[in-house]
Amino acid sequence: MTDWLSLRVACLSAVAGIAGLLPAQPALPTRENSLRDSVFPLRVTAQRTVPAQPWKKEPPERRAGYAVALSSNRLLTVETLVRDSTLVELGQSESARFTAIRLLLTDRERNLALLDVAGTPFEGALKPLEIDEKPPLGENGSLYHIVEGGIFQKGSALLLRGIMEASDETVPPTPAISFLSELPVNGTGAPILLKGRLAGIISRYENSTRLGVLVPGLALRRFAAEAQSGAYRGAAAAGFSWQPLPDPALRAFLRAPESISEGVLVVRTFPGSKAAPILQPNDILLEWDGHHLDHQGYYRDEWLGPLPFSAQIAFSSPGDEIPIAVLRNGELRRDTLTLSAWTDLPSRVPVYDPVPPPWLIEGGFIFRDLSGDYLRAVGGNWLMRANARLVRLFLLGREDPALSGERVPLLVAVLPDEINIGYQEISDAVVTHVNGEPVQSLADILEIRKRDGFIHRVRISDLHIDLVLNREQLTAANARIAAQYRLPQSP
Amino acid sequence: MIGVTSAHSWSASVVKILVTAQRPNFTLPWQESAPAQASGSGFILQDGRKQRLLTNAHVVSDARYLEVQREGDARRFPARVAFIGHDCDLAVLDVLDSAFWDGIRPLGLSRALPALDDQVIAVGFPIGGNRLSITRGVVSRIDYQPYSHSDVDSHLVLQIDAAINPGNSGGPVLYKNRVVGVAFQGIRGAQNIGYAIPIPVIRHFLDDIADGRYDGYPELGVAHLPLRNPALRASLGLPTNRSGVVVARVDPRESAANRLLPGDVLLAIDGAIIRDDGTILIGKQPIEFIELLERKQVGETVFFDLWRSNALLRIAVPLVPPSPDFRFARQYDIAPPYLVLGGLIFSPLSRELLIATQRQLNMPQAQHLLYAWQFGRADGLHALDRERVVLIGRLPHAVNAYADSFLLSAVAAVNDRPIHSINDLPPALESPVQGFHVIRFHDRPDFLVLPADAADASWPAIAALYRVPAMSRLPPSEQMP
Repeated sequence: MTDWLSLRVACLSAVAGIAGLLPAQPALPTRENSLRDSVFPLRVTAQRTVPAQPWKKEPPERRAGYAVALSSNRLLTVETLVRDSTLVELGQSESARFTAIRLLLTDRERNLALLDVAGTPFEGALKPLEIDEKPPLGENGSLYHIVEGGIFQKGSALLLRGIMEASDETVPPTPAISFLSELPVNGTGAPILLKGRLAGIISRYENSTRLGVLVPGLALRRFAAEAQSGAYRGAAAAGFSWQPLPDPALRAFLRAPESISEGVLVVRTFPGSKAAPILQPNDILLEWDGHHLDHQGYYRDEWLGPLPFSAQIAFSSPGDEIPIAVLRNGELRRDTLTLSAWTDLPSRVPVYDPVPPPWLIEGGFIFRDLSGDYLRAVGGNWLMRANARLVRLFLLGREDPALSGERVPLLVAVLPDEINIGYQEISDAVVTHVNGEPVQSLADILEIRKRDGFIHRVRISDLHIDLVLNREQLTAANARIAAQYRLPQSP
Repeated sequence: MIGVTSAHSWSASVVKILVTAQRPNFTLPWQESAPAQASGSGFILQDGRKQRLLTNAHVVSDARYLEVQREGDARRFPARVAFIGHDCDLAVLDVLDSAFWDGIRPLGLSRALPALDDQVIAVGFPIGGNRLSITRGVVSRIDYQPYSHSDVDSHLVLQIDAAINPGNSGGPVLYKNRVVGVAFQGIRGAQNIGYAIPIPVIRHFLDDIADGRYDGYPELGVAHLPLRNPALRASLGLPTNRSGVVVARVDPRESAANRLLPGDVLLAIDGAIIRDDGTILIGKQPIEFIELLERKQVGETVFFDLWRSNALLRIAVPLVPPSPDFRFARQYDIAPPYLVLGGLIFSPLSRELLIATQRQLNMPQAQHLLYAWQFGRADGLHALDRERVVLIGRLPHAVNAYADSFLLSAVAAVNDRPIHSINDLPPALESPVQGFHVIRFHDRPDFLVLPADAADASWPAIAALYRVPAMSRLPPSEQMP
């Protein structure tokens, strides 16, 4: 859905009009002892995997940001700051000392991460901030970050409006608050406080416009509560896709009474979801959790204003029961839909890779499963530039739950060696059979490899014959290829 | 090495071609670009008893008006395209005025390809002047290479180390005063590299049109793997003294369908031994084995010695006309088909459409077009459908106000009838569903509806407002093979 995009554009275009609303007081560094034990600088070393050579990593990348205390031993920050991290270090505002701490949990959908200092050399005290679950819009809060010398700098931040925000284009957007900052911001994870309470932490900012995005208190509270419970299930998923329904012709075709001009169209339900037995394609979803939906799927949130109803899903938890009203063939039906966990509906083509992504090299053939991360590694405009067959499989497969573990196994490329002469130009091919058996995932390939001890026949969707490797020479070839290309053991 | 003159008077053989051309607009398919003028070269070739005025297809593609002019003669003679082969970038022109032919001295076609390092000259009228230009160079490579005019065909090419500039196109390349090639393309950014269409391709074109019709090159329709991997060879049981390539996929719409099978090892073509890298030796030159097929015409037969199921076989493959479906060659001299329904413009997917809409191809709904273009044949889309019909545009009107999110989607069905080609649209539109046209698309679950009566009623207003001359322009219907 594009709702969050349009909101973001609208928000950015409003800068000029809003700039004058900020108080004109200068933002001077202040000694802010009260936050010393609540807000900490975070130093992160991260290394991304090279998706086409999953045993390799990009050069290490250094990031800096903030974490806020959640309890006496745990802290919160944004997931984008610690993504692909190899080392997370917590500092203290008044000392140059940084201590390695543990990353307990990350959630890419909610863009939040939980950190733990228990059992680490960190010696400071953590003093949690009181969370303001629903900071009012239009209020001026205080943005804090740390400048040279470990001094807190405080500046005004005006909470503008509710928006839908995604940490990247592969995950569903969640509700957030846009803000306009007096200060240029120097790191994500930094807090904005409203009357001394934590209104949220910064997930994104743009210093050229002073606009930023805040993960609000309510999202922090929910994440923290679920994470502390020990049985974290992640974001909730409704289990169906939908589209706006402004077209009167389509409404008439669906036999919606002319008196009803609201509601959105259910396009499909995902197999295995709790929505599948309750909703049907072409249902018109009129109400969600007591909220009337307009034909764009928006409801009026008492706190954040107009938002798509997916905001309600994002604020919910797996297992929550949501009363709904749908129009089916002109007849009004009421039912209750139980939300699934996002992770309970694994896509046939996952949007992102597990860390580390599983792979296998046999006879120089590099195998792995297709993912959004694999395609995005092509760079900008990857929808156009990546292999079109794989992009199509990604677009079709990302909303196609694979309940029995199906994936799209790939022959990514061939590491040239004498055993694979004749096949060395093959790349980005979908593997259909291995050793004569159909395969639907890398897991299947690994299973066959484990059972047979080798992989000597591979069929790809482009070709109707097997690529054959010399079985007797495979062991020696694998050792030679591993040495030549400096390969580690397959995970 | 430019400007070396010859004792031969080329002005009696080589002519300038002046072209006024118009390209179709593939996003507003009833319109065309403004007429544009350009020039190229051509020459008179003695073809048996006939004298042919030969040039490149790309010189005269989409021509609205053609003239030819001889050097030193102020007269321009109207000409017309008699035959054109876009797959080989050659064309023959007719000049009806007999005065043009007075004093013409046709050139002869050489019997053999020149050898590497043979000195050749290119004669023509490159941009920058009205006088003949002669460029001298040597043959630096003879290879099988893509022809940029169609963007999908590859044939033999003569590479010479003399620049081929715009305007040179269509002029002869001569060795010992006989034609060994037709200058046709260069490399952008590379100096002194020019390409010419060599004798075998010229000969193929002239033989093809001898019956008064151009059929084009037959396609074998086989994807093959080199047989360099010993394990693959062993798995096929191929004796060690044999070489060849293994058939990996057979196109169901081309000549090899039902004749060759995946797993066949092609050992020889018309008696010429195929080596493990897919080449044959012509003289001492290794050339792709497909070159022998290239020299055949539609209707002829090619013979393969092959290894199938541990036995030697000889299989005859009659060569059939190539299928254009899902091939996406550049299109010339056509009026793009289209149909307008309630202001929505439908037209077949083409390379030109992809070029015209390239800035919008990063939208998810357009991704199916890229897929069909790149993998349509390999994934067998053409076994089911003749083409992809695309919702290419919207002429805004109240009846189509909510259709934008479907732009550049490929139509799968209309009113529950599958759409295999644009010709399937009119009959499908005769049976609206509950008074609505229901349009479904490939690779997306949502669908578009138009109230049928309102869509029909909108036509006069849309036609007048956007100056659309006709609701549709459809090609003659053909049955799927």
